[in-house]
Amino acid sequence: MRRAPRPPVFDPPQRLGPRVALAMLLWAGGAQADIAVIVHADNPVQSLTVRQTAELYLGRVRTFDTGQYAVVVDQGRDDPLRGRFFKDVSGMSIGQVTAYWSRLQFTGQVQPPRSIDGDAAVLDFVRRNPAAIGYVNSTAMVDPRVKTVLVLRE
Amino acid sequence: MPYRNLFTLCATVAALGLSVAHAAPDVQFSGFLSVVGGRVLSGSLHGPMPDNPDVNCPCYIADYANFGTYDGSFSLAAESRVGLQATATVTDRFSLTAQVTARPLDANAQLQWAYATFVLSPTWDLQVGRKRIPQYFYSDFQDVGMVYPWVGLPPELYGWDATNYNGVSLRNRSALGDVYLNTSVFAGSEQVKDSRYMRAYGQNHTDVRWDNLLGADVELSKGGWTLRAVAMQADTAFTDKDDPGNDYSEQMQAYGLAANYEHNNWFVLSEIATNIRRNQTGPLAGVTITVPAASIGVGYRSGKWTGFANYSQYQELSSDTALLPDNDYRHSALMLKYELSPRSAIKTQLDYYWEPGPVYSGDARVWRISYDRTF
Repeated sequence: MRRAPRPPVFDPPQRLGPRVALAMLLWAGGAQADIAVIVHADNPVQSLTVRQTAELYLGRVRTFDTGQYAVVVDQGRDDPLRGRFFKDVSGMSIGQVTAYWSRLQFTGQVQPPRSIDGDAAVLDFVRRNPAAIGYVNSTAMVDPRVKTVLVLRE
Repeated sequence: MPYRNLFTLCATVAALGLSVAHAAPDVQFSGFLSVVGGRVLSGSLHGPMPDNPDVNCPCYIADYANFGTYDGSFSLAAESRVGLQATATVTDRFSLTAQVTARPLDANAQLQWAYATFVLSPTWDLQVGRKRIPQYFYSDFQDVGMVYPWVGLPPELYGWDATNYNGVSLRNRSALGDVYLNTSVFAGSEQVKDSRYMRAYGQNHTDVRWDNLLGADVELSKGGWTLRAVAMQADTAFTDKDDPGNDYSEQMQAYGLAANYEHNNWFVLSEIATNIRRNQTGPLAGVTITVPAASIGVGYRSGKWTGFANYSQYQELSSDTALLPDNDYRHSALMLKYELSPRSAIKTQLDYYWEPGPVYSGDARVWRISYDRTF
């Protein structure tokens, strides 16, 4: 069996000094999970870069590198995960993302990704759609029928 | 009347949604709302506006296309609007979209958009139907107030007698390295019955036609930069049903160049345009009017607040000043926006408009406030 390559990470973990490790322990109560960008397990795409992910989520490209049309799903409009995700991949605030998509949507250029509320629903959608791409809290990623193609480190 | 508008609007969209829902279950609804109020604080003219005595001055024309005007009394009617859009995705290569808007100024909700989209390839789209004319940078989304910092766009660039067309457009979206390209060509025609724009000239029953509309635009974006160029032409005809002596036709060309830049919390929005109108028939037959217009604004975002200052101008340079004198309109404005949520905001704007050339509606100082949202 050919082992799938490890997904790339946006912010590679660095060696931590003891003070940093202690500080992280102290903050652990408020720590947020990494974000996993996921596709269907049968999707031949093994990894995505931050830029490729941004291009799909900003409607700048419609297909994966394989040429397959992507069905892009977003988290619920007010989900805090959404704010973190777009900040990480595009540097844009949710206000800027909303304005960006409003222009494209109301001028008929591209429709925004469909919104699905919650990790469980996103995972369910992606596992049932071979062309889908979504993102979830990495702690929710325990499903062999989807695979992670990018991890956005918190 | 506004309530009737809203009812018509809702009924139309509901009908659309129900009809397309039978064909395909994936129907997405979205919309926008702008409640805009304002009044003229002071002005140089007093009494009826010379070209349209129905308007009491001091006065200010904020929206030419819909003839939305302010006078000394606070009004919510001039620029408020609501729009609803439904998109039915029939297959991943074919969708149908309709958008209707309603305004207090108009007894009927207007079908602004109704088109079919054919995805020809990952980068090419063909659209057929009714759309907005993508004339200048904000033209095709000028009703969506949430998207820009102004309460009302500068009428020096965004005041036209036709805003929509029936026809076809072909669009390409692609990337060259880290430069994103968005290019389109469009063609069609438009007919406006009893144009509200022509009320600015005292004509209440004038029909406007734009034939042989043909244009192309290209937009480049890279990092904080967005650049857009557009060129278009149309043969326009104006028919005054009350007085045929006012009828005329023009061959019109328009060119625009927009450059926007964002860096950290600062942003600059700028646009220059030239419009050339060659009168073919009517009282000004043979006269060519060249119209340079420009707008530049600088803004700063700090958390939920955005401050913005803008200057714009519009000139009409006549090839025969004995028949038609040159005109010159200038406009500066200060805006403040507070984001209530990513999809809603309150904005306020102070305008100072002045006419260095012949008097049209007179100098005016205007205050406006708006609540804008998308949903």
